[in-house]
Amino acid sequence: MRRYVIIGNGVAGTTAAENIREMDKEGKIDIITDESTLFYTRIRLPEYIAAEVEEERIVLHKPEWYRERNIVVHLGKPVTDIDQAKREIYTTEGTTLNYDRLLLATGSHSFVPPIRGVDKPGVFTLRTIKDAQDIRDYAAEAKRVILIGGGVLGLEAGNGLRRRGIEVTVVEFFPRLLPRQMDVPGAELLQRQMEEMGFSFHLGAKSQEIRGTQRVEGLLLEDGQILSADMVLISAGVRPNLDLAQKIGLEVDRGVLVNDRLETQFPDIYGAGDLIQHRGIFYGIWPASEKQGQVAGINMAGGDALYEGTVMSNRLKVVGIDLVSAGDIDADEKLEKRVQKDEQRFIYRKLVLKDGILVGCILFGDISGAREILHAIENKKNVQALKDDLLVKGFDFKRLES
Amino acid sequence: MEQWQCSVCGYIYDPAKGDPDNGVDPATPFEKIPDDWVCPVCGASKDQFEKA
Repeated sequence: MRRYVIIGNGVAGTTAAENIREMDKEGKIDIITDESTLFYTRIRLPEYIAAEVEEERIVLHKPEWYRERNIVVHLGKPVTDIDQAKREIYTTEGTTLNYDRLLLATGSHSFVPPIRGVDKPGVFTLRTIKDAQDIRDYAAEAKRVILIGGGVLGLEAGNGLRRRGIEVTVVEFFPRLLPRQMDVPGAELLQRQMEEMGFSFHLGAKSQEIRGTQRVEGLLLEDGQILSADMVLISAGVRPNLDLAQKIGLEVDRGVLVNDRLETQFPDIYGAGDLIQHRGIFYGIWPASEKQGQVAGINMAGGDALYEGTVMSNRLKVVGIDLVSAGDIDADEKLEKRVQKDEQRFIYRKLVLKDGILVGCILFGDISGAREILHAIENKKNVQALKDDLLVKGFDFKRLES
Repeated sequence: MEQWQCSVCGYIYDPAKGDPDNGVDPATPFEKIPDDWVCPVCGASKDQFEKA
């Protein structure tokens, strides 16, 4: 009987366990994690901190799911070391598990930039359900929150708090919102729309020190301004959890290096999810981790599957608003473009052309035609003859497919 | 026709609207969507959906 151990119970680890069980009905499968909740979706944590959904909705697999599949989950047990010669893993609790196949699916953690005062009570990051519970509890008494970092995840979390009636101020180092997805006019429109929703912004602003004697009272910016707040939420991206991998000597760049079978350099040790780097890419998105978990699980159980990458979606929802951003968005205004802007309805649509070929787009507030436009960009379609009609109301986007 | 919800992100598939941006025509019941279709919001696979 083969023994499988999976470290991490996120989407990669859980999907791997499910796939192993489908192929190997007899094997012993153990999932071990430092978290104290069964497999849940972190994508809905902003709704959770807004108190709009309860934990029950966020936890995706109930105990029965594990029982039916004969998968054992060990919660609240950080893994401290792995002995490859003995094929054993160790936890802080003293638990030892033996493996024949091991999957590292330890995920990632929130990056905390070096700002003075980040250790004060009232400073949070949002990654795990535990973080969300802490934020939700603390927010019950809070009136004003400062969001450090204006990326999609941060804005989503901030929007959750705003819906609870908390004033939200966004402090972002970059001079505009969503710099990778938006050009200046698009970002300004998004900002205005969010200001109407009740957000405040300090863009191009650097955080210097979180102030407060017992707990958070405000944030000092580098230009000397002091913003008052009872809570700070830092949202500055994620970093892979590499400690364990590095401890056992695995080769690491941004993440743990794996091949297309998701094998690490060590025999019988696989990697999937946020901690890996595959063909040079760190994904950090749900569908990539799900697919990687599937491929790793199949291979661990003796099958033969390859992971060949995941297409990054160009479609986002920002605080409930649809946004499709792809290719060269020509943020520095060097290329030919067609733009449709409706400031009243908060719609901004921009198509970027290079020698008659569609090379990029921003579709904000109205994503009609997104599918055909994305196809055209992908296929480097020459739209010279259509370019003046593309953003005219009523344009039949099927014409882009012919 | 029944609505289905993505358990991962909360997106609701409304068969009346379909998901034309991803090749699913309006009036397509959830059961008739191809198995390789994924949630248009978060990319989760079709088996992550449950009846809303």
